[in-house]
Amino acid sequence: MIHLEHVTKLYGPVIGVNDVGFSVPAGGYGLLGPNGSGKTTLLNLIMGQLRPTLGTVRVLGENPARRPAVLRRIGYCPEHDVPYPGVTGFDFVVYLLKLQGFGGRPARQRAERVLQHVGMEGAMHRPMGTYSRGMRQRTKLAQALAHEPDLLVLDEPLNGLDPIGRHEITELLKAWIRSGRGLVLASHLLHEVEAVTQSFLLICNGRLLASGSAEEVHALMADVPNEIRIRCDGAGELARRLIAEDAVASVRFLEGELVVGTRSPATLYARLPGWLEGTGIRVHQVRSTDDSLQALFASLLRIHRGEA
Amino acid sequence: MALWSAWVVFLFECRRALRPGHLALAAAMAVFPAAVIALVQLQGARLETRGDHLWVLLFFVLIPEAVCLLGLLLWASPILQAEVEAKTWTYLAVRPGGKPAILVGKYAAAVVRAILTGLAALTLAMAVFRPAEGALHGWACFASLVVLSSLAYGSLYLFLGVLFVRRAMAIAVVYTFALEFLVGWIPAVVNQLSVQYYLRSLLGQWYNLPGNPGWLRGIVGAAPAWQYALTLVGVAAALLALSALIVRRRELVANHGDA
Amino acid sequence: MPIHDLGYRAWQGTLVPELGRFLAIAVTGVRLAWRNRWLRRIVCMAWLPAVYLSVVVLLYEQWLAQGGGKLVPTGMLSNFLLVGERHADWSFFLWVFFRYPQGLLMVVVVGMIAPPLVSQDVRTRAFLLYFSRPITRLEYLLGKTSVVGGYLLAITAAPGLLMYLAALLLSSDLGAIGQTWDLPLRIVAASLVLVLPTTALALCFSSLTSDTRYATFAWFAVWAVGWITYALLVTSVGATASEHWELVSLYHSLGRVERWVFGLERGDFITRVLPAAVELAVLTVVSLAVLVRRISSPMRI
Repeated sequence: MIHLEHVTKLYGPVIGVNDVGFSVPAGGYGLLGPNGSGKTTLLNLIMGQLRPTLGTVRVLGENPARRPAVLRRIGYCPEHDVPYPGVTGFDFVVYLLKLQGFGGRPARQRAERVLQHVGMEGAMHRPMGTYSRGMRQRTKLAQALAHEPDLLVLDEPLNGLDPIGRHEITELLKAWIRSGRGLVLASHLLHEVEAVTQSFLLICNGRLLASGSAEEVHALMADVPNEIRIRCDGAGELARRLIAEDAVASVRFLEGELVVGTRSPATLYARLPGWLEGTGIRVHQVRSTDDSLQALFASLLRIHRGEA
Repeated sequence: MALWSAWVVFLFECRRALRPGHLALAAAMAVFPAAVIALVQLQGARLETRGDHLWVLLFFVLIPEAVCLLGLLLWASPILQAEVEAKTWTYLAVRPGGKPAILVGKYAAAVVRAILTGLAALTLAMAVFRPAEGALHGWACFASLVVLSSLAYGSLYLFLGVLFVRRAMAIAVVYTFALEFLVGWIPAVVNQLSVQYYLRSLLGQWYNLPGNPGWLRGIVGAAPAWQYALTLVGVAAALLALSALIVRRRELVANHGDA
Repeated sequence: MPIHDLGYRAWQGTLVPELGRFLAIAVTGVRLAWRNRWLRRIVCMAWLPAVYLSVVVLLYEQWLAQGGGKLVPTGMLSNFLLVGERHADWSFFLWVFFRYPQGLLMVVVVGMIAPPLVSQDVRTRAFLLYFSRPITRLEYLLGKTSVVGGYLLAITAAPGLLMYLAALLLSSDLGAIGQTWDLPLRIVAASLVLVLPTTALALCFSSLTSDTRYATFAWFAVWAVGWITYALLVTSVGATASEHWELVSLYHSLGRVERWVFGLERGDFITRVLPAAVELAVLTVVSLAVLVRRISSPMRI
């Protein structure tokens, strides 16, 4: 569905993306990366809004920069806000549907249907300038879905949505993937993407660092130096036990919890039950403090630099 | 598909132009020439009886020049600038009709707005001036000039707006002043680089300015009117095509303004 | 080992005095505007007329040194007589500098800088950022006007003063200092006449819209419409009969007051200069009032 080969994009001396190559069939993919990593540049390359300085981009078999007709099969939801504050959401979606090639009546019918689908049935005839952030986000999504594309490209689609809205849109996107169509979902929040799809593309500093499934991502993160907080009875005794273990790098007390530093959290998780056995210590909660994308990318960058 | 896209954009822009604020602005531009004519007449100037056809000059400066230029400055020159600044360009550009179609649709809407405003201004000014004879001929001549002026200046401003996305209006003003009002009045071949030369020459042909006085030589041409009209239409088409070509290649993404 | 818990500590250093806080807005605005390479080119080009007129002064001084005599220029300058008196003629050169090249460049420069200054803050809701700091509306206003004022002074007062200095250095005798000591003050005054109403008007337009292009259009339209109206009146009715209509053109009103500042106005002050001066003063006050009202009104989030 999307095929990139040795794609590099330069903005003068600034590297947008650097020698990125991947090929993905239909299905859902999360494009993960910190802010400024090149996600939007990559999406713009996929949408044909940017031409690669080097390399080739093929989407649905076509070069989108040269053959805009392929955009009929792609729906794009950009990161920035909806335009035209004086125009209603309905009119906006109808307008864009007409630009997709639909006639007046089919466009209006589709617009009404899709706006209801995203939860905008009450507000679609109000000017977009009166919308809340979440409503604008839903309208943006609606314009991307309205023409029933084969591939959906979404840039931070859950920004500004309340938890219920996030859940609804997440379910919508999961159903989209189940229908056999393609989805590329760009975000800087792992849990957001993880809720929708189990396949990831990890990008940082313009480079594609890794791609794979959720298990593979978590396995990578399992080896990232980490801090784990344990809330338990007898924290002092547990601390004495843990200090003697090789897998533990540091132990400290913080706000009634035991904060354990470790270079291999996977090992610690695996051995912790064994250490607790027979001690009578009751553990109420175990959680990681920096189970985050930042730690993951730091780890990946170290690997790429040959430091690990 | 491209034609359909251009048509859809044209209709959308025309509908947006019907908002009260936009209509008020167009009305103000339409009233301006009539107000000036009324002022001149209030000062006691008898525009029609003066042998040098002063009223022709006034109408020419006020309507196909001032009104059309001001309108196109607002509606044509910042076509891309407005979309890029408001980050709306992406929504339009990712459509199968292609970016040139969007541009053509917006150009058409800007030109139609300028023409309608110009014609309204002409009609009002004629109503205030009330020529004793030749009103229909006068209206037809200036209406044609309004149309040709809108087409030519519209494409020119659009071209400047595509080249200089960020400061489109300021560049258009500088261009207009430098080329149209300074270079365009030099009595030499160089003034044929200006749109104004062709509009003036058409006026001279259509209005039979008496005796082709010496001061007109060099700034008004003597070729047949159809040649000037065709040149203006040709220039408009060429600049529009060039603008479409440039915008097709141009990378305008919101994060970077233009890449 | 004692553990020193210092807790939260307030900043002990010296804060910028309140009077200087607007400079942060001004300097940032100037820097942001300076990024525009076309603006840089225009500002640099704006010094060329001063260089050109300095050469004219040199030629004039040579002519003066050789005995002088009346010069009767034709065409555009035919309204003015170079009288062979240093103060009057230098004033004339300075007035020409302010009136023609700098007057026109001022319109372009302000049209490039001013429209986005307040309108972009409105559109991007930067107001919320500004006024969540201990910044008053007045400081915000001062900062923004300083951006425009700074650039205008850079293309009017600065080259004007440099031109005066060049004229002194190119003059034929040191007596020029004694004869023209007041000209630097007139240059500053003429610059202020140019800067104050135009800055206020441009920022007023900028505050009235969140779409920069409308502010830009309004700015250029005011000059174009006024100039065209007055020019057509002069052409139709004659200069004398249409003199009182000069007030419809901001450009001509500025020219009238600048002429008085440089001592070139021969007519009666009350009938010729005062109306234009009052117009500019009213324009400045009204524009500032609208601007203050707009930036003081609560923002809709």
